[in-house]
Amino acid sequence: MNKNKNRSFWWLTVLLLVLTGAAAFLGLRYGSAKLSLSEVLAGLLRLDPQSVYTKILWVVRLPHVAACVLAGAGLAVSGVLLQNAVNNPLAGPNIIGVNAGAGFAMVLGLCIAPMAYGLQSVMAFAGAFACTVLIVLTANRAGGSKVTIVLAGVAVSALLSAGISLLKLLYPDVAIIYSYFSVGGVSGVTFQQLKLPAGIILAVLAASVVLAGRLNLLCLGDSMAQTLGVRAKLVRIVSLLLASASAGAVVSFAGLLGFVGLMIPHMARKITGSGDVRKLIPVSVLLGAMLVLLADLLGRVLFAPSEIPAGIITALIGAPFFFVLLLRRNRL
Amino acid sequence: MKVTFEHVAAGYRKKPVLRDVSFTVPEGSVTALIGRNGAGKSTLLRCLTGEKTDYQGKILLDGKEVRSMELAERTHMLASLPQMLPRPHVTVWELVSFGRTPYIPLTGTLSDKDQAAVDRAISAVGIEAFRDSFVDTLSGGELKKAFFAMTLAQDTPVVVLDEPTAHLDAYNRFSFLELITRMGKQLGKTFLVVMHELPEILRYADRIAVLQDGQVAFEGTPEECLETGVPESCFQLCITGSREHGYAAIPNK
Repeated sequence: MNKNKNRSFWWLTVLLLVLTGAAAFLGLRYGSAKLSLSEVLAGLLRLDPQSVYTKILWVVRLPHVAACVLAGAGLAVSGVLLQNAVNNPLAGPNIIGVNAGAGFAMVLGLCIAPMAYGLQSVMAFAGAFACTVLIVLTANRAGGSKVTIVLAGVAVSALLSAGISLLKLLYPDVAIIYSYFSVGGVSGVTFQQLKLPAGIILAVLAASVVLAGRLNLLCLGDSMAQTLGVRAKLVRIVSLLLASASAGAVVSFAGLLGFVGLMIPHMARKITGSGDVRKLIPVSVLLGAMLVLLADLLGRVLFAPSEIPAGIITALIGAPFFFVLLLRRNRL
Repeated sequence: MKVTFEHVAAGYRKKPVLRDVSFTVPEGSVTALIGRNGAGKSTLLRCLTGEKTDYQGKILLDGKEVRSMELAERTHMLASLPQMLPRPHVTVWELVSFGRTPYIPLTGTLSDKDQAAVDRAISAVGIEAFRDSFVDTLSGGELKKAFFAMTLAQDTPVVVLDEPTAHLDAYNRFSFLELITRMGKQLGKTFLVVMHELPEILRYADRIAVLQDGQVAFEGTPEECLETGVPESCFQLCITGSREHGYAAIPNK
């Protein structure tokens, strides 16, 4: 019986892989300029390096698609890790200060060196990760329970949000750039920008897959996990740091892309009919990649040649989903 | 495997709960740990399971102090079912499979042997009907059974159960007690069980330890417990009946 379930899980994973591949292909084909199937293939193979479609593909669309896949996968795995670590289905990267930390550091970077674009990405990642470390250290001093982590997250995020507001008042020029950053999207992203985040996200994914069996036991509470041989506090801290690294890496190139980390783990639970982290990680990664690819595609074709940031589309889908989630809380 | 408590003393923030607790849980027995609310039963179990380590005295698992054991070693010797149970969003089968964690390497998955152990634990507790249900949709009694199956899947010689029959209806309470008695006798498993239902304890337990004012007020067989008048002196209860036909407790006013 269990073997049949495993088989259907692998079929589901293959199906999602095919659908994500199809979404990526649509992302390559459609945009302000529609490319034919042969143009996409010729462009990918660089049969005519000087052609317009080759340039569109390699300069604009391939980085776009890669960024969407990385953003969706990174936020989804972050969401799975977080919701599991604090045993709260309404948890997202913001509860460990990713949004506030990245936002504050990015605004600070803009104030210090407004022209250094690369610095802002690094600052966003460093801010998100440092904020999580601060929350984890504070919560650990207060016992390291799930509640203290959430409370420390609320306090540190409030402090940094106040800091963002203060910097925006002192340096009004940064407000416009921050507003783009806070919406989230992958416009203008280059392969160069993606190298480091891609490495971080892949490393987090690999670590999560290795730890998945132990991560599962966090839902039993610290004392029961301990009697099963899992050092719950340590695993929780590692889990939070991995979640922060992954979400922070996404924030560094895509801004505060909302709702993906919150929504995707729920969709994965519904589709797999399981709460097993070992199944949720691959399914969430594929669903996350697919959602951001489709959100980005919609943003590019709905009002072409203008582009709507993917973050607006994911929020338009995510906010109603969040309401449904709250209303059906007891059944999830 | 026997469990020995030697002069155990423990408390919380200088408030003593256990003062001098000494008794032995023999191998293959069902030993009931009883006492009024706040007598220190759960504190003693927390010391045994390694959750609380700031106690004085010794707690020995087969002659070895539990505090000095590696976590991995202890998880192969002792399984525990706490009083308060969470309701994780996993299926019953998945929950029971968590009991196999001590046998699975960090990067490993459930082997055929592990899966067979999970299926065996589910059958032993009789929860095949809802093995694919989500744990957060179970009734209180079903939840207890699912978690008990998880502790059985851990396959340890010593099992500690804190109020395992709470939320179970009368039929399931008796079935459960018969199951652990049978496991004690057939598999040599040692059960230390915190319970409040004195008539059922007298009928099913092999030995009884009564905690009162942080000390062991009585330790012995159910027959000795009745002969020495423990129900009257410690619980103000009058017991009628026999082991064959069952007991009943009446308040002794």
